Amino acid sequence: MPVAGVDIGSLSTEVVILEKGKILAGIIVSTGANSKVAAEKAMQMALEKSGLARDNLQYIIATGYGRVSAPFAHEKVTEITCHGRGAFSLDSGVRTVIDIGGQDSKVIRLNSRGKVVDFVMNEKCAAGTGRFLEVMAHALEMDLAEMSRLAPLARKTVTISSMCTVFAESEVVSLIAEGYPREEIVKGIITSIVERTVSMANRVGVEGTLMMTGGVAKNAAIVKALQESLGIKITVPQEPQVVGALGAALLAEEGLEKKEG
Amino acid sequence: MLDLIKKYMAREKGPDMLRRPAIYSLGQAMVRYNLLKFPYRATAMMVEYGLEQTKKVYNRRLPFVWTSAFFPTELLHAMGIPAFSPEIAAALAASLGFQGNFLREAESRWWGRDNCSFHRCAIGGLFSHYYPLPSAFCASSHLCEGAVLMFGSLARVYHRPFMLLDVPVEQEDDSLNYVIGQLKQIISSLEEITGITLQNGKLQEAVANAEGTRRAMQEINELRRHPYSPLTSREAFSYLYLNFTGLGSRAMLRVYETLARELEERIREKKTPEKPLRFKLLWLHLPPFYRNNILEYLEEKGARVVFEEFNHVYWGAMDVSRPLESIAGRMLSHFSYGHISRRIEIIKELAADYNVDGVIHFSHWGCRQSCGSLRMIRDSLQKEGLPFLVLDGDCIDNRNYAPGQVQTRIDGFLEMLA
Repeated sequence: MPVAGVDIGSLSTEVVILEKGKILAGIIVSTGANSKVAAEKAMQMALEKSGLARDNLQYIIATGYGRVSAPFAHEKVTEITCHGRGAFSLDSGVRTVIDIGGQDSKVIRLNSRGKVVDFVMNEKCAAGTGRFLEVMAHALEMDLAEMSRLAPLARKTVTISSMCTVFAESEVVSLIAEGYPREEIVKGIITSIVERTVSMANRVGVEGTLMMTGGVAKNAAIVKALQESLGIKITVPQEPQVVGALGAALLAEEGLEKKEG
Repeated sequence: MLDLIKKYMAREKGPDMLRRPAIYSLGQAMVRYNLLKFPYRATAMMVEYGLEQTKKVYNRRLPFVWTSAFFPTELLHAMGIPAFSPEIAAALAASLGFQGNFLREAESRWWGRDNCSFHRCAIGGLFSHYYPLPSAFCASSHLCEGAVLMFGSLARVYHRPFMLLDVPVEQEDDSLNYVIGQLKQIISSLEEITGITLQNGKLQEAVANAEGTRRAMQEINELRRHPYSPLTSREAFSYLYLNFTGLGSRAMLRVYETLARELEERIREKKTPEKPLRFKLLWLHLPPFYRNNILEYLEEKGARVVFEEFNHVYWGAMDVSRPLESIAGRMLSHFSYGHISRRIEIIKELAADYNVDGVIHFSHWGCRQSCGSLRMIRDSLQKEGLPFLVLDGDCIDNRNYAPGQVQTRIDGFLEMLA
């Protein structure tokens, strides 16, 4: 019985279709201005990829900040539970999950059964999130891949002292004008994200295997800096961005099983 | 009717009516003739009393004082001096939706947004002449240092006396006498400022009222453990007005005795239908007072806040024959003052008494004493197997409120409890 998980984030929307634990389709699209449209589009693409029709899906769980914008979902579950569930399914040794998404970041602690036992989320602003990284990349006139590539080349780190995304952007513009090498500025941006993430991780305490999920996990320089700062190896799944949707799909399978008794 | 009042207050000149004593007389008449609806007779009595007290301070015929949250109001009731609580006034402004005017006024006078919004709102209310200028500012050092600094500052600005009751953090053998000595000094200063002499009989009467209130509060708290208890957390929080300003008054005693009888009757008659309840929760610190649905959202999800730390009766029996000792003892026994272990032990006791599944701490922006020990509270609760959620927010300034983010945290917490 196929089921689906939909993760509607602020920057991207993901859909995973599962059947008996096997992934039939995984789709990532930009959310854009209308999360409802993005959810519909991602779902349609996933259905096409899996060769299924909407009616074939027996249970759908929506997650992410836009979970309320998915009228086709049977249930809504937070991204906290979904990322925890998704990460645990990929590695049952995972006890800590760092998820840095488009507009929020969180650290989740799991027990030996994969159940969430604690979590912390970033404060209200976008500092330390994917959006922060995007804005800084824009100020530096480079893409995220180039940022990741440039960071290891830096000999020094320029300190980015502003926590606010808007102020940090101005600071980066000033640093460029002052002639600081771009790689040093990139390193400074990464350090700023890492410091915020590490303090959150320390609040819940890091145990067991640490997995990083969410779009920012694709940035190798940030993962490396986090590893160095935390002093622990970080596991990054093949496609970290769909872990929330995968968790939602797994929970949908469980929900369906319960429903069918 | 309340919506009409809120609509009126939202107008630019809406808060002007606050300054007119006649408006409070009108309010009292509306309460008396049941034109305003309240969930309990006790609530109506409290509102009528609150309107009477507020009318007195706006009449400006009698001396009155500003008091910080935990100042010993028994002294004031014994002397017949009305107390104006700026923190309660801020909560009321937020609940009526015009706190923004006062916050902006304070901020435009260099009171930065990093300061506690209860105090910013109070300052803005006073600077813009909506809140009444008192004969004196009376603060106690427990629990809130922000109030002490604000009162001291306003006293200098407005050339009014500032009275500080210094309650020692570390309690030693002589702490009780130290506080008693200061109470005597404060009484003497109040007598001098107001021309009212404190009679010992009146002080004993105030302490007897406070003791009766303590017993009624304990009775209410016991009744709230019952599965048919109808008192919602939102309603329970509304009685904070009395806790901050009324102790020692006959009115507060009557309100709480009435509430106890009403709860008892409703529980006996099972007037409140038992709702399916998935989780029982304990609330630490205060909730936001502007329009929000946090407590109702929890109820909707089958989770109920069954008790609040602020409604805990932390002080022991008061001895009418030794009024000042009793008041000083109450000051020294505050649940959240002194070593953090005291607060933690009380939280653990309350969690056990009310058999809760989890604990929520609402961390009010700028409130150091409530937020400063979160790590220790969390660790202790986790040792007891009690999940703990910290909701960062602001009780007064709704610019610091992000409903979607709060909802995600609550949903995540409830999923964790499931």
